Amino acid sequence: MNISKTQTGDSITLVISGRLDSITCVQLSNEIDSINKTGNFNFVFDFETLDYISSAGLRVILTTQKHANANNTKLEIRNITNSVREVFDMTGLLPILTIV
Amino acid sequence: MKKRITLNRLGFMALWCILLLISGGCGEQKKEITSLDDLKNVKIGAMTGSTGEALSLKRFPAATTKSFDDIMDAIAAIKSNQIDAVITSYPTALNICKHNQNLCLIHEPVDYEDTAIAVKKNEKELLASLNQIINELANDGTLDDLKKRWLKTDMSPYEEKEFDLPKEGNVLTVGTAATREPICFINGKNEVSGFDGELARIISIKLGRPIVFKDMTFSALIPALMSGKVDAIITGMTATDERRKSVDFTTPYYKNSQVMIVRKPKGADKASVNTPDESAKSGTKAITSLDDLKHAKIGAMTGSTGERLSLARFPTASTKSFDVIMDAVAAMNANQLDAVIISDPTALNICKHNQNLCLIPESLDKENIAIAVRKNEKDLLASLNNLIKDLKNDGTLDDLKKRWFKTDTSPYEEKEFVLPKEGSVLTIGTSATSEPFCFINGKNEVSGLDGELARIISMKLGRPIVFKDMTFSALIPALLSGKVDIIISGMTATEERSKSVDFTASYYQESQVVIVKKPSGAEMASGNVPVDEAKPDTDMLRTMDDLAEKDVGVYEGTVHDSFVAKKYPKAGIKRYNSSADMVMALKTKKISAALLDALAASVLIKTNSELGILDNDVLTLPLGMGFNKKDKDLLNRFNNYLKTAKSDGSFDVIYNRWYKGDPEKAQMPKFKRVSAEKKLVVGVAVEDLPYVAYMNGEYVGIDIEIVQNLAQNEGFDLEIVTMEFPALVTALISGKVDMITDGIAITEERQKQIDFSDSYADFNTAAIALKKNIAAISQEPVDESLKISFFQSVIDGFNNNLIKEKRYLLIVNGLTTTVIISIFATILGTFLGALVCFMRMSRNKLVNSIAAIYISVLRGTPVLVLLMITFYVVFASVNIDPVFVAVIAFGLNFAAYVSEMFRAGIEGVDSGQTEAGIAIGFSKIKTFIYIVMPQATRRILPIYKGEFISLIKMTSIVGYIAVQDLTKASDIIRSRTFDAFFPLIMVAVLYYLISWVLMLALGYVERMTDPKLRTRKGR
Amino acid sequence: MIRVEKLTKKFNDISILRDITTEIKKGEVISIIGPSGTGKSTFLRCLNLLETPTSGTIFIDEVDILKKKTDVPKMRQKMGMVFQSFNLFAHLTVLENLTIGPVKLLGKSKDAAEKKAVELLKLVGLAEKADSFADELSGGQKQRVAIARCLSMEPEIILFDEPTSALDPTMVSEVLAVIRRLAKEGMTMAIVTHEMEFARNVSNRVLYMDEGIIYEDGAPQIIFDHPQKEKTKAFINRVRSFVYPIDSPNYDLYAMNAEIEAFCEKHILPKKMRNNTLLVLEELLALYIPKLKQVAITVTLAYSEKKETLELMIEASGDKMNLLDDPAMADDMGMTIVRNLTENLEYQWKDGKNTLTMALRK
Repeated sequence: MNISKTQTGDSITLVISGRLDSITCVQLSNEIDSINKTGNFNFVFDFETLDYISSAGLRVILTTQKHANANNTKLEIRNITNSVREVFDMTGLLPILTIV
Repeated sequence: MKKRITLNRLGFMALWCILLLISGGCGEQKKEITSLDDLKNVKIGAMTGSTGEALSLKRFPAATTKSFDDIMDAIAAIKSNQIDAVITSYPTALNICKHNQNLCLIHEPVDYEDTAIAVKKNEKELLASLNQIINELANDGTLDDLKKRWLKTDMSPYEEKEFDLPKEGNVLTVGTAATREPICFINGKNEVSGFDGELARIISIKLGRPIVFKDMTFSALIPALMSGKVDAIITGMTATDERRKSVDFTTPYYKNSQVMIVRKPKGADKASVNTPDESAKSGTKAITSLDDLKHAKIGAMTGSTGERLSLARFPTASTKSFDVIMDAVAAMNANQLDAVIISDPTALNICKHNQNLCLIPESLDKENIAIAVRKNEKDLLASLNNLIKDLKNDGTLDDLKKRWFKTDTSPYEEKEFVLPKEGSVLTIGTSATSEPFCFINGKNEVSGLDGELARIISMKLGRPIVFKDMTFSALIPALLSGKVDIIISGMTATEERSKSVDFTASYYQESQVVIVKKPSGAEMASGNVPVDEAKPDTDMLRTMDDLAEKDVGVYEGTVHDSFVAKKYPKAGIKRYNSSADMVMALKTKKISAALLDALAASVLIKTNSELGILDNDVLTLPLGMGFNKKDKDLLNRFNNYLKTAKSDGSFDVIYNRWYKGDPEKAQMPKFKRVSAEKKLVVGVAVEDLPYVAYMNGEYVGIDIEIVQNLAQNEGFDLEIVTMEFPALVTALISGKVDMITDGIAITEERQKQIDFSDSYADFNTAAIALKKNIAAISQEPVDESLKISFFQSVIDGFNNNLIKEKRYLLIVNGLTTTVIISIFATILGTFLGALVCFMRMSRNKLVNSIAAIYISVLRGTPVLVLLMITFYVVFASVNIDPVFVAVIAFGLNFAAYVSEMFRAGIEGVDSGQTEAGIAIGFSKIKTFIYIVMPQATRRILPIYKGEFISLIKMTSIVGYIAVQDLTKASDIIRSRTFDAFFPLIMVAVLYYLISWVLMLALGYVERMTDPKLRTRKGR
Repeated sequence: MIRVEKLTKKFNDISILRDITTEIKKGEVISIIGPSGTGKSTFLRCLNLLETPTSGTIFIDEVDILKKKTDVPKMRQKMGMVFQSFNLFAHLTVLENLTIGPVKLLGKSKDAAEKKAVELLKLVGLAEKADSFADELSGGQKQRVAIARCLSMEPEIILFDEPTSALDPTMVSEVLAVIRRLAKEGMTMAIVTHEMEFARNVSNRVLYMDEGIIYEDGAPQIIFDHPQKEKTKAFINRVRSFVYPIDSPNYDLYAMNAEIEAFCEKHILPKKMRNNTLLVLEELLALYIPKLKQVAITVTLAYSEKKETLELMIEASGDKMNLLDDPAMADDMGMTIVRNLTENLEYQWKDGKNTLTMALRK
């Protein structure tokens, strides 16, 4: 998994590519934690090149969403692929997340 | 010598003690010497060989004991603060203090000792009568009377008694050292006087024998007694056990005590008490007395008494020998020497001409100048002696001295003589470089006192004379060999020389004195002149001793090696196999100096203008030819031949050819090869002229000529084989050669292994260095016109190294040898390697481990060692062509490497390839041949090529087993031309070419085995 | 033409082959199948003595080749062998690979040998590569040349030792095609293979080997469709099973994934199924591992060609623990994913193991 980060104003875009599984999710969650420590940001997850996501990855996204809700910031998920959408779908996350 | 110095030190200490004792009241002054205990760390003076000296050493080991030949020198030294105390006998001390108000005694005696008369051993009669006399004198109070009258504490004059001495009878010669008032001194009437003088006269009367006093230095007394020059010594000599070994002593006539003289610790002197230490610390360079010479650089003439004296008196100083005195003076003027020891007339003259030099007024030694005559020329000796007696009596000698030994610079008043023209010529050897004794005057004649004396002799004898001027050290050899009849050259009649030549009566007594630079005011004041003025330029070489910590080049395995190691343990020894290498190393400053044969050195500096000789006589050793210890017969035959040749003069012809003339131009007579059954194999290293060289396709040189003569006379079929110098002895021992020669010095070490013939020549060692680094000649400007263009030098190099003396033949032969060894060793090694490889891969454990051991042993052995073992051990007793041995040795070595290479190559082929081959129906062997080997070969070839190239280059060591390969050929050429550049570059290029051609051949094989290239090419 | 009696082969006291007795008749095409490490290749290699049998006898055309007098190389000329790793002679061209045997062993002239070689190369479709070297060919081409090389020796039988195992999946078919063609032409062959479809189609006899013996021997229809024995049945059903043991909570997920991907690729499973398999496995292991005191899990994947289904079995030793009945699991995202992607999800407590079996949805 690769995370590339770009900041525009108060919103931070994370382009996540590869696999977001029980091993790599730690990396993403650390990244998000460290961003949250520096302030309140709106998050954009770009999943265009994300091939695979497991429940571990879903949990990181959920946590981020909850954090956003608590801090009145936003989490947006962009360019989602079909296989990932299916996972979101079957776990019932689609309605909870803002998927553009 | 050391002993003597230490003795002196003790004496000084004792003196210090006395000083301290006396200055008891001034206790605060630490340095003051008031008791013997204060003498522990001071400088003590004593008389050489005296009991005081021994005492000083024993009682005050931590003190510095200095030895003086004369008590007055010691007193002068203490007065000038150079020593702190003088140990001497009580009467003498008493007298000294009487005359020197600033000195005093330490009353606590260092020791008591018995003073007695010394007589020659086994002169029982004389001894008995002397004892009886002494007893009488003791009993009748004469001795007490003597003491009272002579050992005074005040300045009142001595009450000297007159005696009527017997005139007739057997003369008793009494040796004295009449410099010790009041015991023994020369009185106003020029007679030996004092306690001993009177005692001697009393003895003379009692014995009824007339006496003659012979006054000499103290240390000469006992030798004089032993040699019969004197019959008894009466000079306050202490009867020590050591002396008793050499002489007998009478009952003591006086109980003497050794006491210390020290400076009086007066207020003014207190400060001066400290000065010696200070001046010692600051290391002042100004030399004002002999003691300052301890660590100085002293020049002397080679083989002169001055040289001997310098070595003996100043062992810690470095003594440098010069052949001509002017060189020594020049060296001193150039600050390369601190002092020069030379006889006083010469010294006087030098100082006269060199305002910046002066004499140290203390004389080191007195010596008799005489004419040297060959032994057994009794007639000539007798007539010369008569002549000298006449000249002395008629005042001619005094006149000569007056006219020649001037203290001012007024011109010499040279007399004209009409010399006889007829009669047998008297050849006179001179070394005409020591004005005013002997020098070349404006008319180019030998002049000076000796010159005039020679002319007077010529007239008196009625024989015409011819002067032969040569270096001083060559005079005696010239006399011995009959080149000259007599030597008149200010030569001192020493005992050592007397062994080889006879001396006439002395015509002049000269003393050896030291010349030093005048201490300039500035130097005196500062006292801080650096000890070593050479410091700014440490490369500068003045004497051999300057090499002590430098890198010195020597021939590997020569005596120089051990010589340098022993003499200069701190020097770095670089070993070379040829003088050409050494010259190269010198030029590239890898070494500071090189030691090599003096003759070779002189030839060598001719062709290498930037090199000069630092020292021409470092070491002299006899040269001999080496023989196997088991082959006494050959040794005897050689020695017999040499003896015959020496007696019939044929050896002289040979010797002169190579040693006297220019060996480069020497023409060796042609020798026919003796076709005899007995073969004589002679090992040489081609070390260069005059010993062995290779010119015009044959061996020449004195060694070769001697050997050729031997072969001719004894009927041997002579074969000369070349090898590295260090390998010569090994070759001889292992029986590869019957004898070896090549300027081999006879050393004890070598004699343990081999026998040497009688010496046929001497081997003088010279040290050479870059001229600009040699102090004595560094000032010489480099001749710019000698520089030639690079292009020209290459052409010259080509001519010199290849065309001249048909040297290209050497190269061609060497090249052939190298190629033959390389190729055959490769072939042998490859097949053997394949065999070992299969053994190594065998499943049979025994076969396998044999191969494994072979590989590890062979790979673990340096190929040079393997080569030598093969030649000198394995094939020691077999007469075998060394080229063949080289092929075997290199083949064995190559096989070890190649077999592992093969194994790696074979194992690198995939086992599937073998399986496929077998599955198709090939047998194991066919599978290997058709499937595995072609593939393995391709893998092996690149590494194999590399190994092959190293093999070619490795063959350059075959010189060790007497094979003349390409490298050895170039060594031989270089030993002749001393041109490092051309032969080395040429050989490098040739090796490259061999490698290149053989690589091409292998490259072809490689292409043949590369299926892709081959197929493409084929289609 | 080949008769084997009581053939035994031991490597360091470990029996690889035990008392094998069988016969290969002229014109037969025999496939030898079975799990890995059951002695199939060793059996084949014993036939031409690349491995020396420990005991037993081998008759070729009624000649006992284990007798010392026998000219083994001569015997081998009658039996071609095709290796898994091709073993083309690296220093020879393709053409030379085909001529070296005939010229050096059969005494043919170079021209005749070359003529024949070119014909054979045409047969395997590689005439244009005659002057190439082995390292210039693809795996499939190499194997076809190897087959041609066997044919150049005009053998009576060809032994194939897993001829397609070292090949990319894309190249398997070209090699199998050549072998099929030989079978049609009546060449006697013995083929050790894992290509079940190929074995079923090409051979007229199948030997199922297991534990060093010929476990079942029969026509392909019988072995593949109605195996008589239990082990054969299991093998045929899970012929390409994949077993992965996990013994640490920090197991290497990616190493396992890589092997599963390779397994799926080999069976040419769709990418989506592969992805789902990985996801299901990850979720199940994530559920199991925190609950286990000691991790000892075995993952088995089995693809049944016949049913074209991918079955997944997870066996976890330890306390009885049914994830399916666990109420806490009802809402779990991981469990949700598993239920969504699989069918026939079943739990069994068997031999002290929690065994979960399922099939991936297509």
